[in-house]
Amino acid sequence: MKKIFCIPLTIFIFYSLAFAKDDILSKIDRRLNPESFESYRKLINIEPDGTKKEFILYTIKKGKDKVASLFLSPKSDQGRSTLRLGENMWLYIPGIAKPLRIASMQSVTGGVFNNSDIMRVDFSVEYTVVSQKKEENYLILDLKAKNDSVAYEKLIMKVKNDLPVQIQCYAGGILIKTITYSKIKDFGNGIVRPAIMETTSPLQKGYKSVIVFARLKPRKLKDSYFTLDFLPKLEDIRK
Amino acid sequence: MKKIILFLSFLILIQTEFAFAQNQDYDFNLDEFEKKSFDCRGYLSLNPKITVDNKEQRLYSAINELQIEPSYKKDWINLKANFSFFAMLYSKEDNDYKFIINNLYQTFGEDFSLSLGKQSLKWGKGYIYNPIAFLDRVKNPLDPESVREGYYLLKLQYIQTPEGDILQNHSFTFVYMPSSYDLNKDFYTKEHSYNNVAFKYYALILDTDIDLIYMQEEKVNKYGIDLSKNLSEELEVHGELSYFNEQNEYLIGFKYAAPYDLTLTTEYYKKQGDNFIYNKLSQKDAFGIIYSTAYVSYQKNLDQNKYQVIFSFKYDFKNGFVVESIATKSSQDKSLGLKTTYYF
Repeated sequence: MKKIFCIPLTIFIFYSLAFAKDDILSKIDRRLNPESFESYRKLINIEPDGTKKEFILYTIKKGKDKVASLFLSPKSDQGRSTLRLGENMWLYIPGIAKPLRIASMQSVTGGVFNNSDIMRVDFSVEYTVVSQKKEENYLILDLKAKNDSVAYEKLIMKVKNDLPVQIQCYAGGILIKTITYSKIKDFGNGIVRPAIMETTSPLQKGYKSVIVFARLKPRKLKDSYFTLDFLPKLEDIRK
Repeated sequence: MKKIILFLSFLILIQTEFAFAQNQDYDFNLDEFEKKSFDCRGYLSLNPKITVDNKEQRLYSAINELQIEPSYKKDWINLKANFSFFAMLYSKEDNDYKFIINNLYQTFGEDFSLSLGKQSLKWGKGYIYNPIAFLDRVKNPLDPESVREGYYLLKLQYIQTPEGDILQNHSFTFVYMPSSYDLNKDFYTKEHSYNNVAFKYYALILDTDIDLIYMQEEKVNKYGIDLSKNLSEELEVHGELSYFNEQNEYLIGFKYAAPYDLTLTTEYYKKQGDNFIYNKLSQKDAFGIIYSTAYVSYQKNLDQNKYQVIFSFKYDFKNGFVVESIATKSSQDKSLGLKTTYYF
């Protein structure tokens, strides 16, 4: 009889622990941004000699895995837009063609950031927590990709106060890049998060890519904004 | 010609020095990017070229373009336009100057929208050719990205995003395009005007893009279908099929996106009875030079044994200037060009 009770109890405890672990990811996701929002970001690629190329992006996100971005600068890229729906990504170049499918590991901007870095969906969509441990004031999370289509198979995330401080991204067992979050800023509407993400890669020594958030606010967004037909019209919804 | 190249080099250097002198911190002032009712952007492109034909005769040419793209949005007014002015200079022919209205249209609405005016639809998934682009101008196989001019038409579109995992979103498009001697002349035949209509249904089903098209042009019924899907993270496949006048045209292709921005595109297509193959291998940040793109493409008409190879190297100077050197070799001739574009 005891065994009959023990088996479901063990299963219950196992699942409770697993969900509790993944719950921290959902918490981090919501600390970084609300479920539905718009933002303005500056993406800076810095070369070893210090020269820079800057991109300004207007980005909208809804739910866990719908992201669309519009390039406002530089002039040569102005009007380009990208869409991500789960694992699918497209790039639209005005006047050239219909939106084209693009790969997550390639880069529409060049530099250290790839497409999945620029069109990042919630961590809880792509990763599950394998283990977690405390180190001084930080929580160290070992994250594993949920499937093969995720850009990095493993992340080591250093967390403080439910916000990432540093993320190490691994693919093929190799450290591909390190993302460092800094400058905690109050964006209003209860959003207090790092405003700067700096990325370096041992594969591109001397290069650095930085994302600076200037504005991030909740906004009710229609699902239709996240469709291929709407990509050419993304500028129209900017207020 | 030398003077033009020297002047352009001087301008690029001045601009580059200015870009380097920008401040080095992460300041981000959004004022410059606030939404304005009126916006205008464009580019000036100078494209000198030398062409040598099979009889070793040399032709010097320069296809120069000024493109301006103004837009105005306030209240219900949502106007978009795109104009090109071409100055085509030739050493052995008369020079030619052209002004083209590529697009000029007004849009009302979002999910349910109405667009009225001259616009390009860009139907189809193929890179080099689109059998189902019934209402678009045929792409230039030498430069498939260069054709921007649309037609005068009315477009009604409804986008819907149903709840559910299988059908992610879909849209219904209706197009009305009148053709006469003065309007949309490419569709004017048999010396009388006609009303062309087309319907397109688009759906993203699971991870596959699908378009179904029906068009009635004069008394000819045209049917089209296209598909696009990622078989894996790196490999995308696409295809198009059209059917009218008891004949079909099709295109099948794939794009392999390898790490480090190396991309291979291969397409096989049937156009007006002839079979073609197209391959393009492109590399971003080529030869370790960041913001450069190099590509080699090869296209062949398998029935007429005609071919064309293009080598290109493009560099973005990060200050609005983009310079591209293009070398081509075809069954008829070979050419070398230097295209300099300044975006403003």
